[in-house]
Amino acid sequence: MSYLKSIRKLATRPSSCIGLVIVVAFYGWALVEGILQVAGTFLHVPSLGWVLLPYSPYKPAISNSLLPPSLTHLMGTDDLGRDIWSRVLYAAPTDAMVSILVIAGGIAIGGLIGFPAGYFGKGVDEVNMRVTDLFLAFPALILALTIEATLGRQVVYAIIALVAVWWPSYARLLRGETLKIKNMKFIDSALLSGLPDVAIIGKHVVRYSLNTLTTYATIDLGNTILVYSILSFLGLGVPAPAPEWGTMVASGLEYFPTQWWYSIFPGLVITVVVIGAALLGDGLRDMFAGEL
Amino acid sequence: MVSNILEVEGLSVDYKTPYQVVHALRDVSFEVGQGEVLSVVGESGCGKSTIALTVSRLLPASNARVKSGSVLFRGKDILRTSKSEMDRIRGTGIFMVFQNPFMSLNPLMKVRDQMLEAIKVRSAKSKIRVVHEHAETEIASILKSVRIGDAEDVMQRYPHQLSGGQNQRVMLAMALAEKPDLLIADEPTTALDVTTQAQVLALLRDIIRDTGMSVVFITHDLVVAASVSDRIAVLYGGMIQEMGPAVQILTAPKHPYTAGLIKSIPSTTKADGPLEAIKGTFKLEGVEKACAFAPRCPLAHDACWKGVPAFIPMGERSVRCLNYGERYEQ
Repeated sequence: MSYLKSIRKLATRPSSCIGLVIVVAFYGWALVEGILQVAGTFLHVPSLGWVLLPYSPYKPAISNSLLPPSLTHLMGTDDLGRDIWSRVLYAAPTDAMVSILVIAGGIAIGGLIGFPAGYFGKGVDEVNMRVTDLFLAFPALILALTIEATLGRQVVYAIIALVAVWWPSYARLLRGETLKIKNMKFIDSALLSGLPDVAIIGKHVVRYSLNTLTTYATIDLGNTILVYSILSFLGLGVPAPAPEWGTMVASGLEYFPTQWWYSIFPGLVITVVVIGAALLGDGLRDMFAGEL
Repeated sequence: MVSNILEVEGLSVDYKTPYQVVHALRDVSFEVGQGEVLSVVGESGCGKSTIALTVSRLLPASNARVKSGSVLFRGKDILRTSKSEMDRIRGTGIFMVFQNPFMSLNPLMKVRDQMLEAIKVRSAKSKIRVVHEHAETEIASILKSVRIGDAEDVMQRYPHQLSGGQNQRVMLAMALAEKPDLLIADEPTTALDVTTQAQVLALLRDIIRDTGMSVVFITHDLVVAASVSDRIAVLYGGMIQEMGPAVQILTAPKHPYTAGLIKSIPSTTKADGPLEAIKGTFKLEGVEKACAFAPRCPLAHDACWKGVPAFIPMGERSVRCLNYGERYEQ
């Protein structure tokens, strides 16, 4: 089945279609906006970062401060008179990058721990999974907060902190998958054809666990954005004045509930992306199970 | 000089279950010469597959235990070699074809990719590099040699798009690609329907004749065994009851169990009443103290219950039955 055919099949179910549109729109926009921002930084023309936005996300306009949503300002303005919709759009690449890097890091470390644990069993399993348990024993958010507070307020450190709390669930997931796959007859026959263990894991086990992994990772994209937003909500995100969804929700709380739009709209955007990822992941699972 | 590829000596394997210890193999000894085909025949649960698993060292580590004995492959005891040595032996040394072809191919890999893997393993072990394009043409020609007509088309397919017979041919093609010294075929035709079974058997016979590889052929069908093999070992209750040249076993069985098996083969030439069958089922109790077949044997007498009969050599053949001399195992 070709990829295009699968996507078309996925789009026939309304909920999956909504998820697909949200996820593609979010990451598509993030890619475009991200390229513009990076180009702007390199060419020393920061304004390149907001050529596609209705307003500059940085320039304060005190006379416009805390305007309610209207046609000129779709999501209203914040305390410094900056357009919230522009700031939300401007912050998208950071969230997209964080979510993808955290998931990729989680899969990489989780795979390195989980695949051997499930495949070799015994001692390797014990050691790897007890280390995993050690990380799971800490409350995830507090561990991430501690790591980031120690390292410093930068996106890179936020990613490191998130990967540190993210990989254990992937280690468990992939170990479980490996246990299931290991007992299949074709693994025996691969073993008997003289393939070394590393090749069997790399070729057969990884490939067979891709379905489950894709589903899980897609649903998880939303969660990483959520937790990253929580980190920045608690004041550990990108430093001001750079816009960040969680930070915006936090700073808007001072004006809540009278100037409700300041907090609600960034929060709503987070919610929409999280739900979109969950709907898409749900659709993928049904598709892989052949129920679609 | 006739050198033996495989020598199994006094092999005993136990399975631990929550209730008891089952002696799946007891003191099994046989050898397979260069280019020889040995069939292991027996009913379900007699230990046929355990032999295959032991020789390929795939016994489940959790509950199986090799109690004693050795399995010498080219003079090397594979039960006591290291994991890396075993990896070297597998594939180009020993290759195994399983009963269910649908399960022994990775459902997510195209036939071509799985065949490529086999060729890569061989080239890595023989240190002869194979160029990718050459590998592709080699795969196609091997597939043709296992009588897959549209080889180029089949290469691009996934196992679920092929029939059982085609899948088993692909497995045999992988065996051909690896060129092993010893092929273990664990009931390779059982999961196929009768016509396909005959085709695959004919193919297997040709492969054996053309390549000269040694084969351990495991089956429950005495006729199939006789049609492909040089020698037959009849297994019952985890012990070899009778072993000898295939034709002699089939035409003049000595052990009552073998005789019973042959009598229960349906014949198309005469219609003389209902088909005979060996009465009863295998009983685990008491097999350590007496002849395993005694409870079902039409010729059993008091002596059969006194101990495990010895394996009596009779020329090219050997038989484990007290009717040919009252000798017991120590």
